[in-house]
Amino acid sequence: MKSKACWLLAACALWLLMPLAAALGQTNQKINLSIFYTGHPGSAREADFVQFLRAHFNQVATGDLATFDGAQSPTSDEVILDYDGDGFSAPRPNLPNSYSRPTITVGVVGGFIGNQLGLKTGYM
Amino acid sequence: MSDAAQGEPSQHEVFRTPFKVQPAFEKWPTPELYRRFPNGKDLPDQLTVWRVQNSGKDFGSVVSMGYGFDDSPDAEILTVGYASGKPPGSAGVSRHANFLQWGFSSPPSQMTDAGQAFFLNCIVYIHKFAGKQPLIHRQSNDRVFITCLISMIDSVQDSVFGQTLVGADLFNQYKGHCQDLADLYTRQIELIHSNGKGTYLIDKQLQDLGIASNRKIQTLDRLVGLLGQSQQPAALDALRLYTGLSLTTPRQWRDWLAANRSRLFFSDVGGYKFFVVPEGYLDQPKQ
Repeated sequence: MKSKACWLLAACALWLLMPLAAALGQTNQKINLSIFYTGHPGSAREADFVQFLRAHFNQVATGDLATFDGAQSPTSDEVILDYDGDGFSAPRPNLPNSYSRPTITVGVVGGFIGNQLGLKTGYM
Repeated sequence: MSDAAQGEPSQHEVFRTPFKVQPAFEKWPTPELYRRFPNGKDLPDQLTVWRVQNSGKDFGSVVSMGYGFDDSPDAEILTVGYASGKPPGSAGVSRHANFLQWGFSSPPSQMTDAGQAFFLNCIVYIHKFAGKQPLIHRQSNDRVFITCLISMIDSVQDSVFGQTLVGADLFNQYKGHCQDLADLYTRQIELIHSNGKGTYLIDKQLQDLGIASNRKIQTLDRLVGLLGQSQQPAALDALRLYTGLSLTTPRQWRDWLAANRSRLFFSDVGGYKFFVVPEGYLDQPKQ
């Protein structure tokens, strides 16, 4: 009887704490998306992003922004385009007009990519 | 851009799901440059901001042009960035079609808790826009921003700037009095258009037809209504200019307008033209 009460108490506490854990991103359940992070291979920045992404998403693969042409890792759900340094000297990928993959562009290089593609998200 | 987003987060889902973004708000001084723009004149002395990252620098991140961002239904500003060297309302994090620009430059380890939650939510959010290519591409600047640029002509040494912006005639006519010219453009703001080569003019032809705005759908109704009348040549010119189409008969124009009316939008940034949203483009994606 006592162990049943303890179990109930523990379940209640867990139920109460779950929203907090979820809000802080501390749930063990990863988001069911596969991410293709395309940046500067071997850089500390790539490692930083990949560690963070792997903690939250089911699958994370990496690529090189310098050679990205929009076709790599076609089964990934989305693409992140990033680079280290100041962004001004980062490579600019050539994407085909038909490119329509959901894509996050990051920082200065992201702004330049936006300019290149004629997007409103370009660098001002 | 600095390390901070400006303003309190909206009710947009990127601040709510899957993670609740809980910023720590601060008050930062309103940048002096903001006062030089129409939407910055009445701002309070201090602005509410929240740190997205802690880079320790006042630069290194990037904003996008805020003016005109919302003139096409494929684009949205998710948060304004605090950028003391840019106009107020510049986009810190924004989306155009299938692209989401995260203007902050720091890697995740330097993001705040709120910044990390926001970044993760953005990654989840953009997935909804798979296959949604841009409806327009950047061709020109929004007309409000043009009036701001005109008011700065006298302070720019290189006369090519002013001559390109308003054409040689107006530039010479208003030399030393650029604020008067900016005021003229502001009074006629509904009739500003671009020649596609960086020059912005007031559409006198539309004005002569008694039409007060080039960006309202009623303007298309008026122009189509003028076909078959004495003003047909000017009306046809305007219809072609503002749609990019080369239809010829009144019947063709009426049919086109009837078929697309509910999906029409006008974009300054896209080239001062009407565009048609493809069927289904704005439908909510499957979850």
